[in-house]
Amino acid sequence: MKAEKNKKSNLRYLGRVTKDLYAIMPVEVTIVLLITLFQSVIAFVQVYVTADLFDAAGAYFSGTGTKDELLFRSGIFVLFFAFPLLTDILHRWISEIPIFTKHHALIYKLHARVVSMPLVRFEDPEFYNEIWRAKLCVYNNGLLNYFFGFTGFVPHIVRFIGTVSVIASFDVRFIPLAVLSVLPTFISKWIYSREQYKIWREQTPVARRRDYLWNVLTGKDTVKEIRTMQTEAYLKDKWTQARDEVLEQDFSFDRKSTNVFLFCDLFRLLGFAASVALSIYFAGRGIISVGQFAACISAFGGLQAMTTALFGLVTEQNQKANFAGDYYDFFDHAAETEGEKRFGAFTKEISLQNVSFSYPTAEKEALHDVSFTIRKGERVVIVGENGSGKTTLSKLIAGVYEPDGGEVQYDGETIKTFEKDSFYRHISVISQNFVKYQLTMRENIGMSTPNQVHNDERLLQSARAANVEPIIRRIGGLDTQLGREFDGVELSGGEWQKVAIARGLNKDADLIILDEPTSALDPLVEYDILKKFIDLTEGKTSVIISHRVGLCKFADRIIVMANGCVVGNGTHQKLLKTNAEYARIWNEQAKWYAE
Amino acid sequence: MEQKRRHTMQNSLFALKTVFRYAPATATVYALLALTSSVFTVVQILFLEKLVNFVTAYILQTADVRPVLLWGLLYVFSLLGVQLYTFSLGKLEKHLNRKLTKTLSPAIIDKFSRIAYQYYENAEFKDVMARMTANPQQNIHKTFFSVVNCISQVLKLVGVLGVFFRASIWIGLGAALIGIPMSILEIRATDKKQRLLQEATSDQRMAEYLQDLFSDKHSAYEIKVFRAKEHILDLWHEVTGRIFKRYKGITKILLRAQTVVTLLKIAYTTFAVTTLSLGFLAGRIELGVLVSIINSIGNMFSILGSASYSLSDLGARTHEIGYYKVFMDFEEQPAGHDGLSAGRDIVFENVSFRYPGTEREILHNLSFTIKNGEKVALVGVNGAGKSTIIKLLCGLYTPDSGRITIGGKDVSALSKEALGRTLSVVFQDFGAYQLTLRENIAFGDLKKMHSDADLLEALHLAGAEPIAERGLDISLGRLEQDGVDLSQGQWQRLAVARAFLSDAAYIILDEPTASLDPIAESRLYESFSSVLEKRGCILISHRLASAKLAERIIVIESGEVIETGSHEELMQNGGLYAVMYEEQSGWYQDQEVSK
Repeated sequence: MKAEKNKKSNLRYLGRVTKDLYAIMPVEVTIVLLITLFQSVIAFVQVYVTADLFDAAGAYFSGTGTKDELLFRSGIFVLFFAFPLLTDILHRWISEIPIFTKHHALIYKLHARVVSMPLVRFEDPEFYNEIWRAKLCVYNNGLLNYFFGFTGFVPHIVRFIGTVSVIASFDVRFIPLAVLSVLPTFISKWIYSREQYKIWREQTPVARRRDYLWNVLTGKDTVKEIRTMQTEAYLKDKWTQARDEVLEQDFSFDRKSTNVFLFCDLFRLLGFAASVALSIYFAGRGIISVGQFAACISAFGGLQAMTTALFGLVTEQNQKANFAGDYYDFFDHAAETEGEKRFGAFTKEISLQNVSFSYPTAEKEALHDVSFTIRKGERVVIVGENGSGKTTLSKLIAGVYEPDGGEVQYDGETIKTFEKDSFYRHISVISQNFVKYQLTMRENIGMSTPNQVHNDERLLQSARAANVEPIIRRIGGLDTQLGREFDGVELSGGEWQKVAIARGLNKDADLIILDEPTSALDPLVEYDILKKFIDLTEGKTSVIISHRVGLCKFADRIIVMANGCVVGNGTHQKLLKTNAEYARIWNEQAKWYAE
Repeated sequence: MEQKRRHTMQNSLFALKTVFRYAPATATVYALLALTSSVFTVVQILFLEKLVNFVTAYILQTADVRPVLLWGLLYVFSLLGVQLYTFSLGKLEKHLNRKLTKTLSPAIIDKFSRIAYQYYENAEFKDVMARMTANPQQNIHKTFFSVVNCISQVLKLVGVLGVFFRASIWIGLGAALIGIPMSILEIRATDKKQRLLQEATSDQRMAEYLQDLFSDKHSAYEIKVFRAKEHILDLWHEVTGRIFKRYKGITKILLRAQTVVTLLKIAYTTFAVTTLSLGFLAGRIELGVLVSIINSIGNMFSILGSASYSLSDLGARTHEIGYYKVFMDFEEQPAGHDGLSAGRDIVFENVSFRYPGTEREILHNLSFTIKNGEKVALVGVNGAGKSTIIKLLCGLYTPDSGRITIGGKDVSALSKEALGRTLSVVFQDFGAYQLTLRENIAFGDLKKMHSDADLLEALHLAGAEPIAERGLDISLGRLEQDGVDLSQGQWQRLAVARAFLSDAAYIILDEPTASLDPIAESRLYESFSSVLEKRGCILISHRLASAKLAERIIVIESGEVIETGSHEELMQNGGLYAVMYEEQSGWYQDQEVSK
């Protein structure tokens, strides 16, 4: 599919890009098109005006033209020299700032799209390659460049045609010479620009590895470890290897292509020399006048410069098309599906029916035929070994993963049918890999209910519930920046976790999912927070994943997972007596606390 | 302004020196070629003039065909020369770039590995470090090219002006008069642009940080459930809004300058064409001169543009070189050279410490001793300073007062190798390397990279052997297409395996079981006895069952030691430790916990 893409014309995105750009900046796009049209006309006439000037000078020189004629031609020449410069600067005044500002909308669109992709896509390495390329496209104004590439192209083509037609008007025999001499340049540039994009695309994984290794070598957390472990030299070698791989590939490509280009340029020059010789010959034979000879030399010179510029543009356009392609490739992937039904809190139960799920690149199923029901108001604890599917299960209950088989239903209706905004109004999570937002404390707690981020009362209440209040007092208020990234106050691992819990509690949800909520907390705080959590979620539904099986005593029901399947479902007392897997897990931990 | 100019000069010289040091031959040849290339520009104009004159004479039959052929050939040769020069310069530039990339960037990476760790956690220095990531050597070689190009453009300009003066004093004078304000305008505008761009750096980092939240799988999960997409986009809009306002200002400045430059160009062209036409009519100017000068007006403008571009580029580049110099001047971690003899006692003597740039004292007059081979647990509430103790012990920070010694020698005086043989650390935020499984384990002791038995043994001891089901050479993480991503618990076991692989005298584990399931946690505790048989251990854990395994427990509160002793002793003391232990073990007592 990728190879096929390379064979298509660079025109393929013109319609789509024009439409997308027109949607965000209709006035600017129209102005640019009008000015382009105007510039094309000027460009065409300009060639004739230059030739006429030299012609008039020649005619005056050989006594067939008048002084006035020459002065008139000079005047016209200056006028047509000034025109494109003036329109160009006018064009930039009108369009540059608005275009720059409005282009912003494309970046916005891309980021909004990234986070709207199904969460399971984030597990696929290729997804990150795609984002990487699409970002590169918008940050380098890929779509705009592609569009302006075309509009800028038109006056060049017209000028080229104008020049050729001027030369033809002197003598048709110049034409094959002029065209043939630039043909190799054209063909080789065309081929190499495609080649270059192909190389660049193939390099993406190596370049990403190179960038990753650089980050490891220069990142705050990793540096700490690689310094004490003394793996710096090793990682440096690896980085150098990746860098050299990219560098050498580029270099050998450059070597090959510049050699070919030199050959083409020399060929082109030969054509130019032949044209000059031919015009001298024609001038000597009286076929063209002295003025026409001068005009010819100037036109041939112009043609040489123009072909270089023109083919530069054509090949650039190929690359720009490829970048635009990267952007659209990303957008062509389906985003999350949005249901239509409004969700107004569930009243009875959440039920999983024969749910199966596997990660995109994995061979093994992460969940296999999982069925159970959580009644409203129940406190359910999920236990099991690492990799038994607990977190995956919680993500399916939260509706961010869609099952491959079976259904997750709220009050008998599958999640897919619900409108997402209304559905998530009722769900909160405290994730195992919670985010340490390098923003203010206010944002860190308020992020879960964005429209209440300025409600201090509410934020402080959530802070109190998670024991974050002392931290807020210490750092000097809700508006203190957190994290070292932007010169804020750095918190310890446990403190960050408390903040994450405050965030989860800040959302007034019916269902709250806690994934390893207390892994980094000291025993006093852990007990205190869990106690508070249990009080606060009284009457609400909660799903808790924890390796602290001691917590199970607080649960209304325990689900025991092993190898992606449910192997136990019941209360602590019941399971301890009847379920071997649960008893094993419980005793394994409890024995360390036995006196 | 004056100071800035001196800065530009100094940094340009610095760049020239650096380039000549790393690639003397290539740089010399490049400079020579670039400087001599200016000859062609002048010669070309003169040859064209001669050619047109002799062709005119030939047509009017006042000269024969020989001089026409001679000057025609010379003209073509001059074009050929330009072509070959451009080709060679392009090749040399690439050579030079490659050479510098290969020789300079290792120097930068080396510096990264030597700078004091505190720089990594300081926002102010982060801005400087951020500038070091995107090919910093680029600035040095581009400065070199700018300097050389600038000189060669000035030479060309002098040549072209000479030809103009030869045609008419007024045309030459006009060009000189117009060239100066044009360059000044362009250089000033670009300077201003640079200054405004620099101010945006921290906003830009924030914008990037917010964008990255969207493409990280963990934050994407939270954002989806919390419906915080719009909120974060709003924050992002605010930051980019500031960046854009600045950009708008910059664009306006540039456009204004360019408008004036365009008007000057038009004025000059009008003047030149009129003067030439009138001179030609009065017989003062030959046809050849008329044609060649009109032909080269455009050329002159582009030389002028290129010269002022080089100059202003120089300003920007040398500014960046300023960052490079600041970076290279960052204080380095003092590298110790001492080895260790038999004694390996770890002693903290009245150690006080606060993180650079912060107010809170984390450690206060802390003293304790760990005997060679002793197994010690550090226990305390969140934020008591436990992890800081480890960072200081590893020499990542130096204490504000007091001493930390191993075997009687200051930690800062010890060589990296001696430290590496003494300590093997699993930090709380351990590395999860997106490399092969083999590398992930062997980073604990690179010598064992290819002894599979040792690697598997370490994996086994950490309870992580299932990860190696498909061999040691599988890629982990999301970087490679076939990469296997691990759960947090699996990554943690891998980090522990890494520490176990090392033969260091002490193994230091900071919360090694936070993400482990009960079975894995239990297995890990069981393997402690065999792993730690011949060495010491410092364990930080909130799982107090693990503290029981230690020979001695040190309880830290607010950066001070408040109690120390064995589990039994501390339980009898009834201090903080006893309270914490009771709290945690209470969960596992087989009686109903009151809600």
